[in-house]
Amino acid sequence: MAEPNATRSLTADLPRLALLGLAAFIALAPYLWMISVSMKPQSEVFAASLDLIPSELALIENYGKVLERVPVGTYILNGLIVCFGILVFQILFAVPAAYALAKLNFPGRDIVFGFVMLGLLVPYQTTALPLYIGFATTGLLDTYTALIAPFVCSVFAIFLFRQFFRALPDDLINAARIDGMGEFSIVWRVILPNAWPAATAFAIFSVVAHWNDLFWPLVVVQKGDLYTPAMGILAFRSVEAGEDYGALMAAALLVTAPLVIAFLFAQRRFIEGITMTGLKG
Amino acid sequence: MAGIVVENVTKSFGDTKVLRGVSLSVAEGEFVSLVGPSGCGKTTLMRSIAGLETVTSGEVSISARQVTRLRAADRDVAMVFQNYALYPHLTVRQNMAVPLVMRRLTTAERLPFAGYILPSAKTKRADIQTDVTRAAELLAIDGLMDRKPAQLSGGQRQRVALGRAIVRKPSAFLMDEPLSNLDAALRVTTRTEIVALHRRVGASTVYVTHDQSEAMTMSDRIAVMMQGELLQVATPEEIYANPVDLRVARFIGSPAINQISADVTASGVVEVQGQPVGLVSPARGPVVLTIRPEDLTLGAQGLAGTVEHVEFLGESVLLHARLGGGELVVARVAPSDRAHLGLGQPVRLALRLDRAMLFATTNERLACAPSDDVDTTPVNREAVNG
Repeated sequence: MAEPNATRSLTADLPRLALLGLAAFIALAPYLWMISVSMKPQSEVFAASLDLIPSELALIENYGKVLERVPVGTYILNGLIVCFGILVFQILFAVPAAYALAKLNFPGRDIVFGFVMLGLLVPYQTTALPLYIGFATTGLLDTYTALIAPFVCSVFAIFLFRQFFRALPDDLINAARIDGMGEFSIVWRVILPNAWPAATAFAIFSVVAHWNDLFWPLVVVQKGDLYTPAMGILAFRSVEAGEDYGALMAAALLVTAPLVIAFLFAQRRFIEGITMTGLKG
Repeated sequence: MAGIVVENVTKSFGDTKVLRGVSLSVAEGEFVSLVGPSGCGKTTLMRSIAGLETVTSGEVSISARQVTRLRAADRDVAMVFQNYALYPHLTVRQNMAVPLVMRRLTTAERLPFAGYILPSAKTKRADIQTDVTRAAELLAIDGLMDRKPAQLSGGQRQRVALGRAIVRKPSAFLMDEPLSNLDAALRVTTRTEIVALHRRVGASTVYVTHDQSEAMTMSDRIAVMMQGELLQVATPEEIYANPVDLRVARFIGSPAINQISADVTASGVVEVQGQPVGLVSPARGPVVLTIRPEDLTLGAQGLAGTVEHVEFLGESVLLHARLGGGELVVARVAPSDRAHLGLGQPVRLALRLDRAMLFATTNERLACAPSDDVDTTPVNREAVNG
């Protein structure tokens, strides 16, 4: 691109960039404040002035306290197992279901899809009690199964994938049939690889929701070694930290860091996925 | 006479009959075009042969094998789609390998990394690569093997789609308007290439198009389809010179065949506007007289009309004339005649009688022959045609 052109467009974009930057700063301010507090000594946290840059670093003190007193690694590992387990099963079940609803003709398809839509309207808290009783009677409380199983079938995922698959050309599927693929091969070899944008978007929704979920783990988990990240912070606040906000923020930062990093990576793929979807000839 | 045989196939979507008892047989190695206007059922017929559509009744067999109830995957056909339908996430090499991978490898051998564990998977994959490379060389796309479809031009995608179809040597080859997304110049060169490719590969081919010039130039035989029925299946020459149905005559040829309403008198003389034209017919009553533009010549006698429009095409001139009965006819005349063709000028157009045809108003072909009493014979035909 020619240099003058680039400069001119940058000048023209400046007001827009400034406005977006300001909005982003407002949105990120609490998180930045959290990072800042996690590095401040106790005395400075309660100082009257608002300084984003700590005058004295208390990194070792705050983070050391967290790492020493609570098993952050275990929480994060639990979070990964639960979120990954949920996501894998959700995709495993939702993608074939969505394919059938989007591209196959069978009697009753619209009624089945109606039920899926109906399922979207039911908040999962309403099913918590019967599920709890079910897990309690089968002795599955305090297991990974209890944390994962209720979420493996996501109606939202079915809905999202179904809408996306409908836009894929029918002839792509016909070509696959002529090339010798069965319906399952079509789903995993043709449909899913071409649905990366939808899959990434859904993965972000799913992982964020379950990483931060506090409600369900609180219902089914008592044992400390099954604590998910959100529960870990809760436990740390009540038991260990008390008024020690520096250490609490350090714990929060450690627990949210994997999510932030994962999101930054996924976002890249997400944009790539959208631009690469050159399906039409 | 193996090839593709379609017997009395019907297909209905609800109450709509799309195919009304179609029978067609394509000989081994023959190239047959299915032509017809949009919505005539030609694509449905092709999809029924491919197995993408289940027929309501009738039978389909390919290479003497009954396939009516088989899935598309088991019919051993290859198909080229209008929008190519390449797998967007795979490279050209991978796209072309898919049909071979799906047919030659077992489910276990297809798993990722199976090549490291199963020696059979490794050797089969190597064979597949050899075949893919050979097909790619045939189509001159071996330089594009590592690109994805989005990085290819329309013509290149079309070649890859052809490559994916020929790579596994299918017993039948189906093409659904493969040229319609290409620009005009590319379309003409590609159709020559497809014919050459067909001669080399030698598989029975059904080619669907709505473009009669594609059908005329490429096919061994043309099947003209309208409203779910095959009207005529014959060689391009036969379809052009000797259509059995008025709708076939109208569909084939550019500019379209001239249609002039006529009457056959009680004595069997064909008259236009009460004037005998030099034809006799065993039929009686109102009929449609047709004549191709190149079989009308300017002369001293013949049908009277006035010049309404003149189109210069280079090698010939299209003369649009309004006849006394109000019909517009087109005559292809020599460029040298153009000078004396002013708008509104009266002209006489003589019919080449051995080429004139009669159709009933219900579209069937009627017999007719030049009469002996010479009332309106072409005058100086040879001179005008050069």
